[in-house]
Amino acid sequence: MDDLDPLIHAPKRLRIMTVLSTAEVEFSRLQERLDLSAPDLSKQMRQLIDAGYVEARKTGKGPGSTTWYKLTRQGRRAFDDYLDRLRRLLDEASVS
Amino acid sequence: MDDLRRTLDQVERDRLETYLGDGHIPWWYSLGFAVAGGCALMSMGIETRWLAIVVALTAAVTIGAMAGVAVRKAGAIPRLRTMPPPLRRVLIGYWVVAGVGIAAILVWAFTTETARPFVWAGGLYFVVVVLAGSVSDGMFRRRARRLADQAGIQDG
Repeated sequence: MDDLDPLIHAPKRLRIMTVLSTAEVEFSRLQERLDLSAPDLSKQMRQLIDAGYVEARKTGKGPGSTTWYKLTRQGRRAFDDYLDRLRRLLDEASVS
Repeated sequence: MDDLRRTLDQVERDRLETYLGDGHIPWWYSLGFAVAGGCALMSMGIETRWLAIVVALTAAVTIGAMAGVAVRKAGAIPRLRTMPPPLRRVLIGYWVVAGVGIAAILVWAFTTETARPFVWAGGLYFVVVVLAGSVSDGMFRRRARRLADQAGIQDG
């Protein structure tokens, strides 16, 4: 368990990383898919952005503006690595 | 270990859900792409040069605008690389069939002796794109539903 990246292993952030591993997603769409409040999602996104795992892109101006998120190369590597470790832990547990 | 198993199951479901909800191309985009592309092809047969350019540009702008609206409405731009293989094969098949069909139409239009070849080409293009689009959309939905059932996702 200690092998797993704690930033990704937190349930909300893991779901965010999982969705972003498959698509670039707009803030409200992400909120709707994960059933999170806007402040909560913003907080989680801030942590992932600060870690260099996610990048944000703003489109439009004023009230109609939207923010899109996608994984950075570092984030993609970290997520793939996380999944590899998770699968390995499960394999080891099933063997022993 | 049960927690880890549940975590991995949730990851697999979340990954799949992206393609079940946002993966397919909306029907109106296929139709608009067929109409605008057909018009662009027909414009090559218009003898008044400025009018031909206006029609072609309008078609190109319409296709671009529709792509923008489709992406904004979906709120997601799915990645092809992580798409489940059964769904990816449908999309790639659509592009190959549409690409080969359009190339064949263009070759025919430039080499035929038929009167008004680009009007015919535009019409043929429309038929090829609409047919390929509706067949692949149906296949995509069926396969997506099957994958959703296997993963125990309700709204596939």
